[in-house]
Amino acid sequence: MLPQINNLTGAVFVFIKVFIFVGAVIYLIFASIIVKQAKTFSKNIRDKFNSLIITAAYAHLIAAAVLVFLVLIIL
Amino acid sequence: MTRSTDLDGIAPDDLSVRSDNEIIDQNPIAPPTIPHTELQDDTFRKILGHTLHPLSSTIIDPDFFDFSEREDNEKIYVVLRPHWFTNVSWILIAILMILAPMILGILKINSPLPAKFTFILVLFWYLATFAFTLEKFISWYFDIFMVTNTRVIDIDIHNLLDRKFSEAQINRIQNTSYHVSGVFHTIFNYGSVIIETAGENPDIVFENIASPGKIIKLLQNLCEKNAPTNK
Repeated sequence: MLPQINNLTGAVFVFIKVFIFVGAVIYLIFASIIVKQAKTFSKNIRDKFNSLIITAAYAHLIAAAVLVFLVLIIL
Repeated sequence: MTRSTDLDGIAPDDLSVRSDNEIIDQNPIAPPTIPHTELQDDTFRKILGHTLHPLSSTIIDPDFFDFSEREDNEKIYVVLRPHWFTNVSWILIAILMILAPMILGILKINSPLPAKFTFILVLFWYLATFAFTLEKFISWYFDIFMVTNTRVIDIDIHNLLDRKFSEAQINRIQNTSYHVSGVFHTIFNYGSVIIETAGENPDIVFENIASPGKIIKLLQNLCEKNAPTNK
């Protein structure tokens, strides 16, 4: 019984790994959309904090890319 | 708390006609230009008060602000964003999201997953919290209502994928009203400004504006200044 439980557990973890990886990739796409939108809005409306918003959007995109990398490395 | 002011008398909507009945402008699209003076700035400041910082929800005669659809001779008088209190709910949610993993730790509710999975999920959680905060701030920051010397402009951003631009020429404003409803709206004095225009154009509604009564007064002032050019 134990090997079967271990296999089942292994299958569950593989499923979770794939789930997290797909989630991280989708999140990376979402982060790139935020960058695109922040740039578009900043182009249409120019104000003092635009550069800060674009910087934050890029930082978020980089963090999302790092997350995908970490999912591949750690899990 | 609804107040309505009929501006039709001071802002006729169709042709601009001189006193000797000579038609001077047959193009309804061409906006009239109100000459900008320091006196107007003072009038607006008297009505709306002074701007304290660039993140204020009311910015009078902004030095730095600009928008892509602005015409060459167009002067921005006032830039408005939703009242600061509208941000309180998402700021509280963001704080809760930041604290949630720590609260789970304090309550000793451990993840059933191995440590490396938990680490990735916590990272993912904080990233999502950052995205939530950024998205809410962007939605507030770029949700703009502008009054210029020729028109009023409303740029609505409901979320990152939903954006709406609408405008009305000052001389086509027929009626303005505002609506303040709710406990917090009344306490902090913010609400919706409704601008009805001539023709088939839909009304412009700018929601959650600070001191909507003062905005109505400002629009009345502009329409009055615009009136002599049409007569």
